[in-house]
Amino acid sequence: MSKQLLKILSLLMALAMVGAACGSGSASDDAASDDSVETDDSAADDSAADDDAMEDDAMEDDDAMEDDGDDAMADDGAVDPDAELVIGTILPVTGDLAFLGPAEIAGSELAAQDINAAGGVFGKDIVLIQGDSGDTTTDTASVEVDRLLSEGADAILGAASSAVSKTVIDKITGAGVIQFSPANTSPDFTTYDDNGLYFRTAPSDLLQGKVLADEVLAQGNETASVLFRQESYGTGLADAFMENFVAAGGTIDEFIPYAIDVESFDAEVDTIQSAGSDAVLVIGFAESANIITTMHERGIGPTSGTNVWGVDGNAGLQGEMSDPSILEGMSQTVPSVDLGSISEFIDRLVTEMGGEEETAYGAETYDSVIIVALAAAIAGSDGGEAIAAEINGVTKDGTKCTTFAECIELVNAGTDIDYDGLGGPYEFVDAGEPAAASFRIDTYGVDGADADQARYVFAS
Amino acid sequence: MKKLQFISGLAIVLLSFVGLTAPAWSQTEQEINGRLQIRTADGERVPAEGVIITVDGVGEAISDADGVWSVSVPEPGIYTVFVDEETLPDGVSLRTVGRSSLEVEVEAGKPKTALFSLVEGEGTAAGTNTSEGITGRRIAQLTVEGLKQGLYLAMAAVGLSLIYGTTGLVNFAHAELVTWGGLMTYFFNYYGLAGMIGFLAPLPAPFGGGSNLIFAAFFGMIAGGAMGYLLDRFLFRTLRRQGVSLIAQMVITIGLSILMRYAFVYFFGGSPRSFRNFTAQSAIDIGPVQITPKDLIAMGISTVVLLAIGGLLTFTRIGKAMRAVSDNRDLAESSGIDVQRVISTVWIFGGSVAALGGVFFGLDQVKWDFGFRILLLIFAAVTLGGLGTAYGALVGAIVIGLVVNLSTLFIDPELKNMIALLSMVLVLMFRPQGLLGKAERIG
Repeated sequence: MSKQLLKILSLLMALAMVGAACGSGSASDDAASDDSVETDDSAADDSAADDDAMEDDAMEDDDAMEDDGDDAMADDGAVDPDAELVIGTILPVTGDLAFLGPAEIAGSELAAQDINAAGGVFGKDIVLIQGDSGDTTTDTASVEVDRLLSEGADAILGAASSAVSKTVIDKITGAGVIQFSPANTSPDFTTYDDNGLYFRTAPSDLLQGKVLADEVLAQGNETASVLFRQESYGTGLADAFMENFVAAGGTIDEFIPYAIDVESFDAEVDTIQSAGSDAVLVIGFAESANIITTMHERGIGPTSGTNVWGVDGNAGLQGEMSDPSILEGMSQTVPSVDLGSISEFIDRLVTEMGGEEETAYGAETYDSVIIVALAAAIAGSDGGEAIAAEINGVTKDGTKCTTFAECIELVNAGTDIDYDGLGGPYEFVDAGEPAAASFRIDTYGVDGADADQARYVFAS
Repeated sequence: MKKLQFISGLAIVLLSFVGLTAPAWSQTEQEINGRLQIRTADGERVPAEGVIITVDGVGEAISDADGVWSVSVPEPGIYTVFVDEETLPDGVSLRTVGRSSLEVEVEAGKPKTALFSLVEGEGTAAGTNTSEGITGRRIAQLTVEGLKQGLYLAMAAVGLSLIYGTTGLVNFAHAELVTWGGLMTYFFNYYGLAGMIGFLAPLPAPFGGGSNLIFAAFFGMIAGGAMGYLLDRFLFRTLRRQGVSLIAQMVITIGLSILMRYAFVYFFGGSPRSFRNFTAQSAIDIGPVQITPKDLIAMGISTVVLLAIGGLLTFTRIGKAMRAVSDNRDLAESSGIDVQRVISTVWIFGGSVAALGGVFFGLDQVKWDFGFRILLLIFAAVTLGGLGTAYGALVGAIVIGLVVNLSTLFIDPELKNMIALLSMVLVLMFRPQGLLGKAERIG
């Protein structure tokens, strides 16, 4: 007996070790080898507050901009000469949200390029250190945050997944460093005790839930079933949807959370099938491809006449499917400004990504870096708390400006600015997040979602 | 309606004066609208005409021939909307009894839909679940899915059990052998053998430019067997020769598991992918049960392979040698059995069958860590069935598969894997050697 017990005990111990070993996060260093932004050497010397730079094409070769001397800091002699803005990122290079990674990483790189082309902050280039967030089944984010903090990050960008952000928010904000997510949408962060150091350019899912409920109802659906990830993003959005859907008269048949680490969704899809709802809402990440394929196999996929809805978490779905045509007829909501209005940026983003297609949250990431840089310039300090105190003010109340070059000149002139970003006007509320946002509603065709066919809805 | 048209016309005129600088949403009129439809007994939806809807303090509307109604409201805010139940067509009632009024929040310039669901006949009380519940059809369907998951799991698990049986090693890296098989099959499926040897690219499939999944799976099995052989030949044989204890070897397998997993993510990337063939097949109906042809075939292959392994162990020379090594290694060695060769064979077998299991699991999606995700279930299966026995792994895996799927009839699906592990604990409490394991003498 004792031998058996010993065997089982050692097995359990070994399993626990496997679990703990996930935390080693050794993937991140391989995956995110790119350490800092490459910019033209000349950018460091050019404090390009020239009028030309105010035009939207700050990406133009910065040699074109004239050297205005070192007046960038002229108004604020209090800047610590050692101050240097270091921004780390924990964006999804691996894991369930890896399809959002390229756009977000490219967005942050472009922002750093534009900032440095316009003279940087404190007269120096900002430093961008890329890192990986992994997903909630690994402990990559935590390890990466340790690394970024030890490398002196003043602000950490990310994560994309709300659940991952939650695992590191205490560590980051506890170290007096800013956490700024371009893509967290869980409602939990609005009220989270973050020492005023957590910000996001993505809107809370209370808004997306409302938009989703309105859209699902507007298509004539009376009953809906919801299949969602059992973590803060999935439950937050599912609850927001249910509340709005039921309040407007709809009926929820099945409300099914699934564990994030399961590999097969047969049982879940079977429950959905037995419910026979008018609409099915799938709130998931990359595993949604598996769910929708299973639904298709069981005859309740998007092409079968079931009104299937997706969300921003599975926006990159078509890239995960070997046969995207089975998505035809599916719709989804994504927090996004009208992509047509920022087509120039999207083109740059796609070039920077090397041809990847999914651009969701690229503009929001770009704006996050710009906002932090502007707040740092206003604060005249690279301290997390000093920058944080200025962030909400950057996004509202003041002279409107839309590019870093334009804004930094106003800042240097001592003007109160209101940065209107590529991803929206933002206008942060006290919780450090936008109170209103625009949402894109995509419908998939045979070849996937067509951005030209998308509709935009505003919610507040 | 006239008034509405006038106002929206006015709004358009105003808009053109104000110009495009004003956001469009603040200029259009807001309204509450809806579409009344009656759900008939056979699930059809027909419009309900002539029903009066009242927005408290604003006005009322009558649904038209398409069941559509709308009431424009002067300003954003929260409004109460009523449906006049007296005006519903004969024999029609609200789906949810008593739900004749709704409070809706109207935003500036946006239409807001308020829904009154109507059904033929009597409605039900609030909170009534209209889902199917536990029926014969669902039990049958979930049983088949449980069998499917169990068979695939058995494929992944049987190698682990055999390796334990012959060497006493608990191999935590076995899950990575499963992943390896799935990933290599994906690789061959898309790039064929040419992926490895570039100049073969112009050759026809299966040698160049991607191969059918059936060929690819075959190559994947070979790759799995090769990986099993190499691991044994260059790692575990040395460890055994050096007399490293089994516990230490087990810890090494944990490290190996992590190493392999992150090597996979380095080369394969973090996103899940699907095979090129046989994805998104439509399920066929067999009696009350729906199943895709690919799963049906994969289940058949699994059954044949697993029974063949069982037969092999019982009736062939190498099988007998395996069991001899498993029973008493020194005795087997002194009676002339080439123990190293037997162990190599077991690793090759285990690796290639695990690879095929990886292919079957990968029919949904392949991912760098999908083997690791089922590791707990694999361990549950072999422990439940009895460590070291081939049939035990089969029986254990099928029990686990059935328990996982059928448990969703009663509990939330998010807990389904927990039930599997719970059942393992319960079985071991009363039958510590597992279902088919040999009872060891106590004391």
